Amino acid sequence: MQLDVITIVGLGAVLIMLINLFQVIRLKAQISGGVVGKSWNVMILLVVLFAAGYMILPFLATMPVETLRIIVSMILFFGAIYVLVTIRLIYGIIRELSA
Amino acid sequence: MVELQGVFARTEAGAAEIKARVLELTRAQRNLLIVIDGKSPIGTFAKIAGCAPEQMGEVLLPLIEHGLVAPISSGANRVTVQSQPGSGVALPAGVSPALALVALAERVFDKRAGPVVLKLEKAADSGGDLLAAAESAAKLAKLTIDEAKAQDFLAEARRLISV
Repeated sequence: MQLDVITIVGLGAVLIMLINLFQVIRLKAQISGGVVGKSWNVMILLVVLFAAGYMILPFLATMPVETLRIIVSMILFFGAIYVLVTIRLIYGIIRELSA
Repeated sequence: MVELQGVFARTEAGAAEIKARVLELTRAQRNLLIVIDGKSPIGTFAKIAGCAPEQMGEVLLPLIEHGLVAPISSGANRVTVQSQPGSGVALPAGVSPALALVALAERVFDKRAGPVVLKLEKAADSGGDLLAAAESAAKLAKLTIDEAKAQDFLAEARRLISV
């Protein structure tokens, strides 16, 4: 594996995503249900998908362009869902706290 | 066999156990330990402790064995239990609303009551407004435990505090 800037950034992304995965699973114990709990299961699933998707980053250079395009578009798609879930969660929390 | 008309009081070890949570007490045992007041017949605590009157023996005996509660009379100094019309919960005389709220939270949220109980205990320790603490705890429960149970808890808490 060639250790260039892209690989280093990719490995950094994988590392951060693994930390995210650890934290999202650890927090689950404190959020068993309710408004946050409902969204939390979706967030865990998305972080697992991201972590799996990011794992291929170090091997990008060896992949065919078509496969690469599909993977990147999937990551962007699930990224958009993740942002949507997060915004709705924050909105739900604000609504509950201001009720 | 435990006499339901018997009166029991919390010992110093019992008071310490409420805060320290060293022993592995069941929810009913912990609830009973919290609400027991040394005045009311033990049978009156069945509902607030979250168990049937006929189960009071098995709930009470481990508390006696651990020295957390002790009998103080055969019921001579019994105090009448106040009840709220239309209320599902009777607050026995001498039980502070804060302790009753903690027992209620443990009964409603079961094993997931930890954060709510902590919030209530903190409010009780600081002498804050109990109703505000109950509302805040209900919001926390609504966000992180269960929305329906949070509403039940708040409704029961409001009744308890107004007794």
